[in-house]
Amino acid sequence: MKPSAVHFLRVAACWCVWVAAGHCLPAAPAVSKEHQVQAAFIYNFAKYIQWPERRLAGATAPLVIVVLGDSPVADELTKVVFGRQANGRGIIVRSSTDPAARTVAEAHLVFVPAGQEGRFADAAEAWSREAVVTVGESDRFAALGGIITFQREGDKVRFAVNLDAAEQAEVRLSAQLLKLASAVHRKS
Amino acid sequence: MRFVRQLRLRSKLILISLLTSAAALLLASAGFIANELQTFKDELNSRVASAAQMIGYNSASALSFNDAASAEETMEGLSAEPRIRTACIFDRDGAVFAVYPKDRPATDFHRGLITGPSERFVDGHLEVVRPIAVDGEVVGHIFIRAGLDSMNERLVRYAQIVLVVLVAALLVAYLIASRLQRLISAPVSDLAAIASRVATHRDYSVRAPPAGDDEIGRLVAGFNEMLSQIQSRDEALAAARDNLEKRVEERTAELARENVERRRAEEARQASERFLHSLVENLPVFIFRKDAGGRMTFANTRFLERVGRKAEDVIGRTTAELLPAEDAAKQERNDRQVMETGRTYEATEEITSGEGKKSFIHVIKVPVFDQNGRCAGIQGMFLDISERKAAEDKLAETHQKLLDASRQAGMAEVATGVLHNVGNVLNSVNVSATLVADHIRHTKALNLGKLAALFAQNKDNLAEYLTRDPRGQMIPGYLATLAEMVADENKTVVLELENLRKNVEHIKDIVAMQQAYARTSGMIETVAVVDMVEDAIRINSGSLARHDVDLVREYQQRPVLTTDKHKVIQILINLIRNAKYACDESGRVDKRIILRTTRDDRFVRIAVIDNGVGIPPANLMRIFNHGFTTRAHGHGFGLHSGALAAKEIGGALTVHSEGAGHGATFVLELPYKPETASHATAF
Repeated sequence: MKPSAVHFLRVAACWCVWVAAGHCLPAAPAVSKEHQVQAAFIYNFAKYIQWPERRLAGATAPLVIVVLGDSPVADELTKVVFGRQANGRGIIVRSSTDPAARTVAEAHLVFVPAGQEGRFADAAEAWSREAVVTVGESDRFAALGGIITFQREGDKVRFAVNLDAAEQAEVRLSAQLLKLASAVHRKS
Repeated sequence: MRFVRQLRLRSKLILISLLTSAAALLLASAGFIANELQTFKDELNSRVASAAQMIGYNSASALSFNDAASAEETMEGLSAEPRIRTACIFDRDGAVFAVYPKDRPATDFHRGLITGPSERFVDGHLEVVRPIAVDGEVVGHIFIRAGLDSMNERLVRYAQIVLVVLVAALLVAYLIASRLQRLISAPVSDLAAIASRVATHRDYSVRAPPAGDDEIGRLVAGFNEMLSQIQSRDEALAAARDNLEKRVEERTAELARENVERRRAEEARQASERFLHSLVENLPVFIFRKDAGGRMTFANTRFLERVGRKAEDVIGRTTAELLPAEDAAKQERNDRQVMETGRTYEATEEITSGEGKKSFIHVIKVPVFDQNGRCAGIQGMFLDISERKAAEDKLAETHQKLLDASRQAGMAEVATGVLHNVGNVLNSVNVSATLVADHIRHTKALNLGKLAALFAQNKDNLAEYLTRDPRGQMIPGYLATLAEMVADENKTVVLELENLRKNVEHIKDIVAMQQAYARTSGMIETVAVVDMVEDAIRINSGSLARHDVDLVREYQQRPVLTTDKHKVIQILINLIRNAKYACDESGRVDKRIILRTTRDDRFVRIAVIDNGVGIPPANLMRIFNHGFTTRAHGHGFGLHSGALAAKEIGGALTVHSEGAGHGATFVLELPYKPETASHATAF
């Protein structure tokens, strides 16, 4: 076999593996839409977060995740959590445009898409009291005191953690989660 | 092995010791090394497995958040274990997520390595796979491959140690064995030397030196003992050889004698067999044998010919298979009876052959007993007596015909006798009548007419004529003579007429009796014995008188009995007539027949005794046989039918004679039952 043919075959094989891997792995950043990754991350956050006892009605009471406003992340999240559990609890996904609504008050985790920061600002204090973990995707959200903020590094989705805000809200984030954070903000 | 066999005992013992030591050492080393290797593997396995568990746990979140760099950082911790060569984390879908070491190309790993939780030794490597789970959900797998190089190094070191120890051990073993082998090999070598000397010189007087009390010592002792025995046996053999020739001679003679005896016995046996075979096969009888189950075990040739089958079609068959059902049932019944009672069965049977032909056989069956005296079956024979039976029937028929003929002949003879007698009497009647006629015809009374004519001529001078005339003077005297003669004639005629009347009366009697005889034959009646005797005499009286036989009546008893009178009379007539003939033939002057009647409690006997020619002893036996006669014109059934008739009425006819010229006595014996005399149908 000629060297050029060998080279061609090798390149072809690599391309095949790359294409196949890309289609089979929804989590691969190269082909996923950003909100799909965000939905998967939000679900995984639930696994690495420990809420205070008062927010957990019983051993099997479901966790409630609320997506503020009208975001495709809500639909993706519904697909991701379908049939899954976090720490032995079922997960309920809701969408809401009203941060003061009862549904939002019951939430354990609230995703604040870009553009919804105004609504977050209104309820931030109340949510912090109720030990609600807030997840956002904008610098403004982070500045308003959101706990986890998605960031983009090239085509990869990463996240930063505001540990002071988390402590304020009395939720504990796992070390496993913290070690993956691109940045952990802590003043005190 | 051949090489080993050729070694000397000494070398063999040393070799055995060395091989044993080496084998033990090698086996122990092998066990030790195997154990070491296993321990090494177990240790490595647990070390790698725990590392996989730990790395998996610490990289779970990195997998969850798709942070490969973090995972690779975690895997850097594996460098603490130099035996771990490579590792890889696969994500939930089996794609390579992170590798160790970092510079390792991802293409070195593929999803085929994910085999669930497992530990495998493959191609000198240990491969461990563990799933990575978060919150019970498998999010990926970790694969770790560790090298076994250090194990191989250890193996080489062990092998070196074993080799050194083995050499040292064999050296020591050799030193010990070459010293100790003498304990065994020395006495054996001595023994071998002695044995070879015995073998080459045939010298049984040598003895091996005794050696201890172990097996070899016993072997030496046994060998010495054997030599002693051989020595003494040699001596005995020499003595026996001298004796042998004599014994061979004796034995030869003995064998020859035995052979002769055996040959004789064999000949006798064969003769006996021929004799038995001839008895069984040649006699015209049908012989068979059956076992206890009723199956044929033997049948002679004639039997097979009669049933028209081959031996193989008969032997082993039951009676039911050979005969029609009815006959078979009967035969089986008889067979069982013979076996149960152990008694002989003998009978004449009527059997029907296959074609429906009836025949008569005479069968004899006897039980067969086995050695224990138990009944093991039956054997038997039968004869076909159909012909004999037919002949007997024919004979009986002929006999009956002859009996009838005899009776008719007897009656004819009686009639002849009667006619003869009547003829005789008629002769007398004729003589008497002729006599009377002659007397009448020639009567002197006719002379009275002459006298009357003389008187008529001289009627005028009658007185003168009677007184004067000379002729007239003779008339008174003539008249007196004539009167006397006429009276005489009259007397004679009257006498003759009286005879005539008597004779006519006699004829009347004879005829009347013949009529009575003919009419009442076969009737049973009660009669006086003497009357029957007298009747018989009367019928024969003519001939008896004619032949001048003196008849003597000795009626000692005069019983009355109930019997067939005419049979008795017929027998008596025959006996009297035979007696008369016997007297006639003797030619003597004093012919005499005695008729004697006697009686006891059971029998009346009528004896007819003559003093005639008598009967020779040879004839006494056959005298009652049918057709036997001594007379020129006899037909030979008088006595035969007489004897039969006597038997018919329950009696017997017997004869006694002293021999020729001494007369004969016939006795008719009749049953006498005074108290049942009135029951005429007793016979």
